[in-house]
Amino acid sequence: MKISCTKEQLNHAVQTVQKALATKTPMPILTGIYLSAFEDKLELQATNYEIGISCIIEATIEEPGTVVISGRYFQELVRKLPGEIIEISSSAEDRTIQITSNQAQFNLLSLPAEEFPVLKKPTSDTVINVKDNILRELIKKTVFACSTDESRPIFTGGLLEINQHEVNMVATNTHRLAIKKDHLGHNTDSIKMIIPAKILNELARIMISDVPMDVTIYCQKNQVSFAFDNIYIISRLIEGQFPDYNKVIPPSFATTITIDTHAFMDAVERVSLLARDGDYNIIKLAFKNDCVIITSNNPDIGKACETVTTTVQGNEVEIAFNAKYVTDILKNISSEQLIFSLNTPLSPASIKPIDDETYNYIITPVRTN
Amino acid sequence: MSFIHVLDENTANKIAAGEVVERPSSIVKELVENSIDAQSKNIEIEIAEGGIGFIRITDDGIGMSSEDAQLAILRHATSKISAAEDLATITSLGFRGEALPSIAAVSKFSLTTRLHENQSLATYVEVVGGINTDIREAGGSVGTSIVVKDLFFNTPVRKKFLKTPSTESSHIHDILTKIALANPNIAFKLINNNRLVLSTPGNNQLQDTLTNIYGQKIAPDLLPVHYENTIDNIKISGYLSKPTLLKSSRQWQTVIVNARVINSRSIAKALDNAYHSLLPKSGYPLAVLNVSVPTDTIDVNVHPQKSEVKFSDEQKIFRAVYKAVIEVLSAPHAPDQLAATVEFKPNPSSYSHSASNPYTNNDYKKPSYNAVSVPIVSSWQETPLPLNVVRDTLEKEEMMSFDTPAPNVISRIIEDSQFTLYPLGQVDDCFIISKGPDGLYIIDQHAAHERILYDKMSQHTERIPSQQLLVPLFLDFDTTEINIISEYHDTFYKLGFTLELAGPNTMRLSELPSDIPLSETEASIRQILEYIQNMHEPNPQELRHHCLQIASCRAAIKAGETLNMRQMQALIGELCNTHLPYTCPHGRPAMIRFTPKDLYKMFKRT
Repeated sequence: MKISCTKEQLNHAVQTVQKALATKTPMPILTGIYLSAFEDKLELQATNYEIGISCIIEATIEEPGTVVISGRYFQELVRKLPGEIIEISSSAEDRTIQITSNQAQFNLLSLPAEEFPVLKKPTSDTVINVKDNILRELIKKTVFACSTDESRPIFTGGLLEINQHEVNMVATNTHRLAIKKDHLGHNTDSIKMIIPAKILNELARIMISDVPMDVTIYCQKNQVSFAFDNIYIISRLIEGQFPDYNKVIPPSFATTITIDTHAFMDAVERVSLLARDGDYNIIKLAFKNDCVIITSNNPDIGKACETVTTTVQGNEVEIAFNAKYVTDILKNISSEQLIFSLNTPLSPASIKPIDDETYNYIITPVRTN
Repeated sequence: MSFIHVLDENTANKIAAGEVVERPSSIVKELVENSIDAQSKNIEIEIAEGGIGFIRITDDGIGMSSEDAQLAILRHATSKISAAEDLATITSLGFRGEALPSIAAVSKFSLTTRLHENQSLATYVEVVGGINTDIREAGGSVGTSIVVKDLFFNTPVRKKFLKTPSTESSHIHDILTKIALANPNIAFKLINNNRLVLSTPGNNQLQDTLTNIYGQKIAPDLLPVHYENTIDNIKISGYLSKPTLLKSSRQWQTVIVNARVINSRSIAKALDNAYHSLLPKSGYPLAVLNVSVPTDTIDVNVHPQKSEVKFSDEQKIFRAVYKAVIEVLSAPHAPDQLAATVEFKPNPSSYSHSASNPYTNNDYKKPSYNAVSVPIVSSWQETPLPLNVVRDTLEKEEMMSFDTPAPNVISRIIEDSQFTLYPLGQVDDCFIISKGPDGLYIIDQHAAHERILYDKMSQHTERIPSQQLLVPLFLDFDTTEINIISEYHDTFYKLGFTLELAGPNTMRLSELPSDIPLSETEASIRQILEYIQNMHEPNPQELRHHCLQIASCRAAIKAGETLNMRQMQALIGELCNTHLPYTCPHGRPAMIRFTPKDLYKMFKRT
């Protein structure tokens, strides 16, 4: 193989695929980046069997071929190479790869390319097209609510649900649940799948186009592929039945509060400074007389109390929450005001932006003795 | 012709003997208990060949008349009860009237007894293998003397099951130790193969009995127990060892219920739970617990050898023992009370039978086996009380007065302890050397701080919020577990778990403590179940014992940190102030004391 390409494009491709590199694995081949040169194109691939990413860039091909380079070193040296153009060539005899740019020259030992589990270009009967800005919004508004506890794997991913022209994403760690809905603008097949949070985060990181573009979703039995631009990502799905989230959302509320998002968030963050001790990050909210009194009490450190004016409709309520679960959602609400809906001190509450019916967040209170 | 026929009495006795007489030690137990019931003040036990060849029990109790002596060897003949209802209020140790005939059925048995007054001659009864061979008048001292020879001579199968004489004699030693601890008012002597191996003063001082049995060295490590629950009428007294004095088995734990030595799983468990964070993984504290409960709340007639009793409310007993032990261990202490003492012996934990006795080398008047006459009773004398025992007793009494929880007294101790212990310096950036009014103290700074932090942290775990689950967790349990969970629903709720029945063997968990990760939930619930099955309602800190242990260990000052005088003083002050100051949460000692006597000894100045 002998090729040359621009450093900028190569660097971008390496940074895109490197998230799929295996770090701790008994199979050394998975720590490598697979390069394949053909028809004026260079394809880079990395996979750890959980996720696989492929990225294709333009290149001048003098001699086609495939090599696998140690991902860790390739990624760092591409970033640091001095020139604009990078030349890569491999020699079959001594199994080395020569990388040159300006006066710099590296000879890296190659990994056996024939061992690399090459990703297959996704094909599937069920193909759905979603605009990337919609997908990105769905992910960003929900995936933070996923669980990190592997004991119930279905909650370590987000549920992507497409039903005709509706698309929903739901994530929960069983203590709180975030749901975001959107419209596709066209009818498609119905699908339901749980995608690992890690992959969703990666996807949101890579989809950075300024102009909305189509993302093609290929659904297979136990894996899903997202193809857009010159990139495709293949991921395994989390198997299992996601519980019916509609049951979790309380049908009605006794108390509805409208609060200024920023004032509320700042106050909660300030008050929770004292509550942040170990695992119990408890703040108490008392809604009455058109204001909310936020308090925290840590016998080792001290107390905090702050009042924010609101409009309270319905019964007065005093309720306690884990402050992290409150601030998590406040950070994701972009509207100036939000609606906080409650029933009793021991039943789940809802937080949502005032102007967006498609976004909802359910949070369970804590019981303090 | 019928196949079924009534067994003759001799056969029936032999079968009964199988239940009551398991080995020589059970004979000793039965006969000594008879002597105790006969209000004896001195009981002497003499054995040879591990009790298989020869056992003689001699007491100075009330004795029996000639008629009684002949009746006593009959089955179900007893003076202790007259009707089944008496069992409910029984205060004597025996009641079945089975011991003597059972023993006599499987050995060569003879009995010499003389009433206290108005009878000049004693009665001699001889029974061989259950057959009465001789009854006559004979000379003898007041009281009763029983000789059992050639045990199991007529039941060779049984005999085969006996262990070596030395094992059998150690069983006798163990059982007698416990009986002696239960009866500090009686002077016991055990003579094994002409050597005096155990003797107690019989001066009604449990501590003297303890030191006579286990050796003087344990005296400074003993803590007196005094507990009274007037509502349930439960009283507990006795002694516990500090966690620094550990034994390898439960052998050194004696539980006495209404003057009866018993084995009780629940009381042993209560002890374990109370010592909980104070002990290393393996090890048992020494304990003598004298539990007294109303006689109608226990059933003593559940075990052939009466080594177990049944409590009408075992939970109550558990809680009482747990509370009694916790009270003692968490009482405020002066530094000398909580420091471990120095051991000069190479192997301090081996109080072997002979080593424990200071009289081993005394040449004791050898009684001859064949003589039926009693050894001269007048030769029994009280062991003089060693001086340091007296001193320790006085110290103990001084401390006992602190136990009354008057706040001003507690604060006085804290002040005192801060004033009386002067840090002198630090060795190897790990040990604080300090001077007290009564010796030299060495403190492990890490262990001490760890204990202080552990106690502080475990107080905070009282108020743990619980977090609801949006999606409930379904857990499978078996039927017994489901019953326990339903019965102890409130306990679970207080700990932060809300469980509801969701199917025949499934529980729905809808709420859990916020610091327990979902993956640990099931393990935690199972741990609570285990606690409850051991008849103990856990508190939050017990559940988190392990986490707290790690957290306090991480946060504590490490060995290798240099401390200034003020820091050392503060550390010592706080250590004296914690609830359970003896050891670090892993069970290692936090403080060691050298008394001036120890120091003199080390420099060979005594």
